Amino acid sequence: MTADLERLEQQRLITESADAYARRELEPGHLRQKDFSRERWQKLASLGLLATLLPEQIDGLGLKLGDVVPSIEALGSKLLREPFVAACILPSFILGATCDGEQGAELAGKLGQGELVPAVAWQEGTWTFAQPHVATVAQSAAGGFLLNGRKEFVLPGDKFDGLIVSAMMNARTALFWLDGSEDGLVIERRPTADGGEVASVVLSNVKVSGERLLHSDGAETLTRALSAATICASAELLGLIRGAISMTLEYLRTRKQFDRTIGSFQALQHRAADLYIQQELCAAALRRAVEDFEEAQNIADMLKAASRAKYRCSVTALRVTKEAVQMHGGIGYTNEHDIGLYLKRALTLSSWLGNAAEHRRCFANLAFGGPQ
Amino acid sequence: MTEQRDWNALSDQEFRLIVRKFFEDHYPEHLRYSPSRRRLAEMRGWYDTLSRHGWIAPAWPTKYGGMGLSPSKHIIFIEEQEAYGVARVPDHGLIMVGPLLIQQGTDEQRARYLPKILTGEEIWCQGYSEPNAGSDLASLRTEAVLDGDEFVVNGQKTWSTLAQDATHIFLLVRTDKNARKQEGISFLLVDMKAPGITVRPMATLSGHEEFCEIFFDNVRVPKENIVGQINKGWTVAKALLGFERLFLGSPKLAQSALARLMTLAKLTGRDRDPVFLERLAEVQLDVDDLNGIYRHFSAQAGRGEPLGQDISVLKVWGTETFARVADLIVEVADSAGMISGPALFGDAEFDVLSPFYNARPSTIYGGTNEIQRNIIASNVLKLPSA
Repeated sequence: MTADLERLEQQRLITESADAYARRELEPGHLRQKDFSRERWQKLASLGLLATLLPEQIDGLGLKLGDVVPSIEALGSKLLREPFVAACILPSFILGATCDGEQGAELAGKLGQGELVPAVAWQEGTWTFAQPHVATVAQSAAGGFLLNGRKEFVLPGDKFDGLIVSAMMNARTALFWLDGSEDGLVIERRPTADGGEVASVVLSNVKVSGERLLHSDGAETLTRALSAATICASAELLGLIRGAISMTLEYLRTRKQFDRTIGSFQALQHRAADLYIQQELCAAALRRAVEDFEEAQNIADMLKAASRAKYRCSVTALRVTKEAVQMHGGIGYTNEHDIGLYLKRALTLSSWLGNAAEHRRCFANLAFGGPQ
Repeated sequence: MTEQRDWNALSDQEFRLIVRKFFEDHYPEHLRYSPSRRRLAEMRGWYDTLSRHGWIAPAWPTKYGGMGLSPSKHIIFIEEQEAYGVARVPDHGLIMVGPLLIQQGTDEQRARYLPKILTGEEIWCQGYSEPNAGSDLASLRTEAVLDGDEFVVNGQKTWSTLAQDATHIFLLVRTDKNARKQEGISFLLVDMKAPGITVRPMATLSGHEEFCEIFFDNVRVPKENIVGQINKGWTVAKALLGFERLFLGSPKLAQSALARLMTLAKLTGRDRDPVFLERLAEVQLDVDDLNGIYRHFSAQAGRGEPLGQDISVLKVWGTETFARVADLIVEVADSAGMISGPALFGDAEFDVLSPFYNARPSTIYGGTNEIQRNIIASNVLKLPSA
């Protein structure tokens, strides 16, 4: 009980600092900056945000997924430039689960301190959310392993300090740590709609030493991490939705045409009301997803929780931001106004970790045993 | 046989089990999960059962013969009622007139009317809307003029649900034609046996006679039948808009339509069609998230907090989700979408159009969905009026 109260108190403090930080220091315009800012990443670390989900034995806060969701919403509402979910939440679940080993503990510790930006290279050319197919293979070799394969959509591009790579070994999903400087590793950067970047990672006979194996059977760990990250990406989308709606309402309240504020036109009022309804549905879907994730009895429960959140938040984020640009009129289509940044971020975040169509399909499979 | 207990002293779970058991023991099997509103004649037995056990008025204080349930216990009561598929009894007296008289009536009015609502001896209907006062209710024109100790009422009311079964009606009438719209309105209680009242049931698109038009031709109503002060009826009526607004957006309509859709999908073999299953997933998620917002608001009501204007979200999404599911039923039915009443699917009978018809008024009554969007825009989003 005391532990729970302590947790709640920490949750409150973390949410307050994330809120205050987002309000005072973050600006949607940061999205126009070219690069991942180490300075902002360090700031997130100093607020404790990078250690929220790490276990207490390595100085993490040991919070639950639901505890960090409000903070992510706050960061999302101001379009945090750095991929917090990809480079913190996703690796936290993997390194947190492997921190019994010396290497895992050290990496997790550094992640929490902001000293290490890890990327997770899990995705490949053909995949589904429920069954991320791993064609990359690892073979035993003298003193370690040889990795071959190609990973896609690795965040944050090449701005990482090391990589967690999944590969099939002995018919199991093994997880390795690479520092990025290995021979045979080629990184191809590609820009994303929101001004960030992803990378394709080509592994050709990449040799890694034995101690770089994080997990020899990590499929469940990876799925759990991906489900959690998907719920957090949904939270970030919900923040974005709130931000875009609030910016648009402000515009409707002040912009005048035909001697009237345009927000007084019923055609626009009803559309604004519809966007608000969708926002509230996202919040409901997210609440349910967090509850279901915490109480999940098996992998299918976790995936279903993630799918219900990501489906709703992805559909809504795109709808809201397209409408937001439309309601702003011409200025909304210029790069000078921030509303377009919400649309670009929505495009990126809604496509990452499975878009709405993918999650609808995944949910249909899980709920009705539908198309495989 | 009346049970006098302090229900609120029970734990939620204990109370839930008692309520569930009560419905299982007493509610007639053939009346479960009604596709449309039941008439008084069908529900009379159940009304009597509830009344005999002292369960007819869950939310009324015990001192007036109710169960005295706290908001959170009341929510549980309703949840169990819906889970078991218990149909509504004609309940305007129970959810409108009773609470109103308890709150704003005189001692004489309470003594005169409450006991007969509890026994079902008197059944109430509502007289608010008029042919030219629908969404714009305050422009109502049915007039009451004081003549000695009586009001004389002339005019026409409409959309009075099941008025053909009612013995009494509560009315909004205009008592001051010169005052501003909302300020010249009074709230009257009227015996339907009074000379000059004509009730004309209207068939709906579904073919049922669910509501009526009511004509008032020099109907004389005793002066003491006014609730609250003269010309203050708008305030009186508004006080009724509290808790029950939650139920306009109840997920039960959409949920029962979804269950019907799944049944039909099995009957037609569409449950093996991946394209259909994705659309099913979409409406399933729509209903799940509807449940999510409903729980959010009902928890708020359960804590005794007043519901805000954002409750309109629930009504819009609840009824429009219901309508989408109903559309999908018609689509999946294929050619049988033209059949009135039960259609044949193999050996099974299935009424395709009843949810479709029921969805039509749901987006109209209780404030049209357009009005709900106006409310969200101006009161929640604070968009300007000019």
